[in-house]
Amino acid sequence: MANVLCVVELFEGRALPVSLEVLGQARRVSTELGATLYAVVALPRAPSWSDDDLVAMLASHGADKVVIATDETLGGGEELRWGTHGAALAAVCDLLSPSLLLFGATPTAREVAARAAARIGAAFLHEAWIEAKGGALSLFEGAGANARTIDGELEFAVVATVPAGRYVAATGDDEAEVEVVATSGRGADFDELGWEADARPRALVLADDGARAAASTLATALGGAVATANEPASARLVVSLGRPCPASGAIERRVQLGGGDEADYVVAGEPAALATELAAALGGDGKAGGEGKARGEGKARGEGKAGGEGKR
Amino acid sequence: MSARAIVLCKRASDVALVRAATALGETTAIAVAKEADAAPVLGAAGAAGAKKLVRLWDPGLETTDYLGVAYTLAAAVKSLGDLAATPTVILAGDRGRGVVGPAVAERLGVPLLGQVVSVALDDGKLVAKRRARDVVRSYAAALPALACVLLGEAPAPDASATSDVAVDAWTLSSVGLSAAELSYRKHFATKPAKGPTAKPRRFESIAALVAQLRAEGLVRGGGKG
Repeated sequence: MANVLCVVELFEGRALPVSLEVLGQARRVSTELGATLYAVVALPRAPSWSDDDLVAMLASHGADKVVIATDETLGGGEELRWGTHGAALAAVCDLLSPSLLLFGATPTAREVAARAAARIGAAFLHEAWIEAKGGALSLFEGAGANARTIDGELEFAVVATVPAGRYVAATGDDEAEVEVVATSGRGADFDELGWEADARPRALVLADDGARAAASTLATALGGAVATANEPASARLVVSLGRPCPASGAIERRVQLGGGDEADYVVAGEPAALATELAAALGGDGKAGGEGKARGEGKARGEGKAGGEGKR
Repeated sequence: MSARAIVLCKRASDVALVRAATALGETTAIAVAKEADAAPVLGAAGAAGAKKLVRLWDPGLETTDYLGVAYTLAAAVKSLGDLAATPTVILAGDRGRGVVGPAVAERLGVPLLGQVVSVALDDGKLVAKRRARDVVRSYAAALPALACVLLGEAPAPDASATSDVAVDAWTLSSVGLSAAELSYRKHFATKPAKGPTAKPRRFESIAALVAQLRAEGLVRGGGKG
């Protein structure tokens, strides 16, 4: 039986949404193919009580098994980096020989996914589509007429990154078998010296003249700035009021308020009013935007786990 | 301590990498491409200060995948000199698929850092800064080491840029490889196909959008976090 591995990236102890989305699609694909789905998470030590919550959460999002790769040298570092996480991932790959190794397409996963692919001699897909139907797997990168594909027979391993928003998270029971893989022995690597604040704005808001007031209010709430259409946009988050969002490798997420298709996330409505509402939600008491709606979206149906194995 | 720098070039815009590399040491630019494709890339690299220009091509590379290219580049790096004997910084662009640079690092077994925004040498080590969420972190590694550098929206270099530096034309045999060694990788290469159409995720409310952005660490309460 094929093994599908989904590497889970953490932020403040919780799985990133994109990791859960990838896990969800991996669940659907694994069910279709009869593969076993492993969620892989790297932690400095074996599960504690709080990590147990993490295991339950990964199980409830579709994992048959949760592999915790422990390495004391990880410290508290959640940020994926080959130097810190590479040895642990390599050990898990040696153990499980994945047919598919999946990552959320985050900036920090880029080097890790790519080097992992080279380590195991896999094919590589960037910002991929992972689809399965009728027991057959289809793998693409790019989109539409500009897409490229690769043989989905899984005669060799494939490593792929999957962008946020492409797939929806899955739901299931909260039990999974846990496997701890202890690793150690980092090789020569980059050592962290320290950090400084990023000089670039946290967010940019793009707007036409008619919506500048709302854009300015939103930029303040985001801790960002208002930009014109002609400026090169460099910020983690770009929010556009009505107009298409520019695409750039320097942008992590593009949000379009008012509708359209030129963004990662879209909210339909009147752009300035949405901007004002978003500013209020961000500048309120911190309780705005409860989790229910976003997590409620994207429930997949008929996503039974493979083989009924993997009880914790 | 002086070092040498090797830049893995793909596009003329990689001139930004060459400029960064020349501040680290004598710079060699390598491009794996046909002559017509490599000429503007290496011309720009030479004009930006690279002292040695290498174009490497072989018909056997036509059908290979990222790893075949990475094997070739790694062999070329080794052919330029013993990594253990000469402190070496290797720079690659971090854009698009971003897979070749890390694969070269794996093949060479050297430290790797991606998403790098600046590089410098300090006390014989490569010091690199990279963005990580809302901060810029600094790292240092003993040489040899490879950094994948984010290339911003810098204007394209002058397409007519030329240099007096001659281009060395290498083949696979120049770096101790054969087409047969890479031929199996053609099965791993992607092929053109009509694929799914990308669509944005649509949120029904601002509250749902905020919840998603918070979970991703892209916004925090009050916009001050």
